[in-house]
Amino acid sequence: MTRVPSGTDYLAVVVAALAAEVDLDPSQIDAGQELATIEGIDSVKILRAVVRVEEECRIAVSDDFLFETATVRDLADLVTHLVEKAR
Amino acid sequence: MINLWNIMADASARGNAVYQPLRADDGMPLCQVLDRAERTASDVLATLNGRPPRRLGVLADNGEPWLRGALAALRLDAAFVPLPRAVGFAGANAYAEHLLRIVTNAELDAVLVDSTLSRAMGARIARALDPVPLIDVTEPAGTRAPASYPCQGDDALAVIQYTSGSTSKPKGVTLTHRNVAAGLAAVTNGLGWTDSDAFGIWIPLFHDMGLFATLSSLASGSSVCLWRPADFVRRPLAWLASFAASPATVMPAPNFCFDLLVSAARKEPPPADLDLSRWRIACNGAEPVQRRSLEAFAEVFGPYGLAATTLMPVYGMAEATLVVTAPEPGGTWHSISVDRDRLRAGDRVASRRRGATGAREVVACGRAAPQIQLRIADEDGTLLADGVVGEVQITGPAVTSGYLGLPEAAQPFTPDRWLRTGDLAFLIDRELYIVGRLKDMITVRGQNFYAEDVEEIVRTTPGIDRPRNAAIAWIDGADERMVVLWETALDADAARVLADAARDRVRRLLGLEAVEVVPVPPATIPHTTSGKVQRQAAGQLALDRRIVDGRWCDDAVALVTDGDVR
Repeated sequence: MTRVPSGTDYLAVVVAALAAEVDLDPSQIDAGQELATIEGIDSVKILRAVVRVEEECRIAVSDDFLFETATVRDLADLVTHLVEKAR
Repeated sequence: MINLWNIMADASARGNAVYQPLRADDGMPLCQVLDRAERTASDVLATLNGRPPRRLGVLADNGEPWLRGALAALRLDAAFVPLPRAVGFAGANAYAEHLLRIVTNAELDAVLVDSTLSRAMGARIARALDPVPLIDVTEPAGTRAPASYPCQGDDALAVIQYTSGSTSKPKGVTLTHRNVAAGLAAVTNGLGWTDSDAFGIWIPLFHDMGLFATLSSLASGSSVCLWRPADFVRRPLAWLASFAASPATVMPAPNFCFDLLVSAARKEPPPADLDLSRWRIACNGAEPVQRRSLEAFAEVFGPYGLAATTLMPVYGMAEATLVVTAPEPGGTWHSISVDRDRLRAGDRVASRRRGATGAREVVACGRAAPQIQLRIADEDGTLLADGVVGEVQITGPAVTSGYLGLPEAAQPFTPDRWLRTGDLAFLIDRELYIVGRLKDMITVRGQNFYAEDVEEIVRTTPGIDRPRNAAIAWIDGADERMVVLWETALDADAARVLADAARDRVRRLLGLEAVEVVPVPPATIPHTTSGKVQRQAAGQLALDRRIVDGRWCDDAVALVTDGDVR
């Protein structure tokens, strides 16, 4: 899998991964909404979306993150942070 | 005296080991795990200032420390209490509160944890459980074993297994040394166990299926292979390859796991050299077994050597230590097609052509396991005929004598002391077919969710105008879900918005995704004169009226959407 180039919008990466897991159009997912409220989502699908993001961005997201009440943007912020830390 | 520590010590003479295929190349012999457990037991005693514990919690991801912690408890003559990990709890606070309720109910002296608990989560839990100490058992610190040996057993408690998911009243299934020893033997005997078998476990050790499958493998002198749940869920096919290359021959998991493997393999075919021919048994249990899942699994993985006899639908519960029914090993699974409207208690089932409108497929879960006596009966224990739907009731040496701390009147037994499982089923030729529940609970992905918890969350959702609602455990061939009827006088649009908000709240607070909140007009939900909601009657009403796309339908609409005119 190709590495995501710098300057990437990680929010878009996260939204695309979530949308793919629940068969929604990315436009139907709002950055401010909590992960648990995405239509058709469940804990397994969130984890699978996280794996997509991990592989695309070559990072590792802790499972603990998923125990927090997090929004789509929270996840994107964490991914951005992890990618920058890895650089 | 029957004592689990002694059973494990005897079994360890056969050279069996605990493998963690993704984390270590070699297995750790059970005798070494037991030596380390003795040292951990000393560490625990030291932390408790020499006072022997009565009950110890275990909170860790799957691995040797989890198992060693449980064994250390047994070594100290204490019962161990598996504590759920946070998966499925949306929000750390809700999770910490849930743990506190269990720790309080079980009167734990300490909770054994390891490094799989993150520092932040550990600190949060320690605060919530204070003054009950967390003891880190990642590695044994001391070098000595406790001076005195286990002297209890037989009817002393060995395990208290909590049914997961409840936010209000945790229910601890009490299991004695005698119960567990009988239950472990029933698992291996029922599976036609041989010396070349070993369980492969990625489902959580805190879950009854993971725990007792692991212990039964070890107690029979066989090895066990452990993975973590995230290994499976994150990368199902990588896990499958690891499983296929491991010594494991038997794997138990809930139905959804088989679906997950199928969908992963359909997206990206496994490597051609994947060889599943050593996979002797895949127990499918802990949630309703679906025919379509079994068919798809056989179709996708048959070309990789999976035998037609591998898939085995089973039925079990912590209350029976684990297994209640299982098919004869070496046979193939089967199902029958019945009229879905004739599956209430007391109904005689009627067969329907497969695929016809109103037909429902029910998978056979085998016959009673060794030493389990099973009957289909009404609440007084009166036997029902073959092919008539009623409650599954069981008795035998592996069956619990009740839930911790519940008054006798609230314990789930018939007058003649058979355990009432709360599950609805029928028998044909002594084979069990599960069709629904009497109890107000559903099981999704192996986790239990209770109607009263769901109702409370809906009732306390901001903006809810009327408090009366009824959560109904809904099983209709597909997955289980909770349907909440909520009485409201609001207009349709406003009610829809609030219903969605309540649904999202249930998902967030309980981690239950399979939930639907349906607004209904005031005075719809049946209740007693004292105002207590009658869930069974409400459920029947919902069945009769039908719910379509989350809306309460009048009969005319129901007729059309049902696909045919009845």
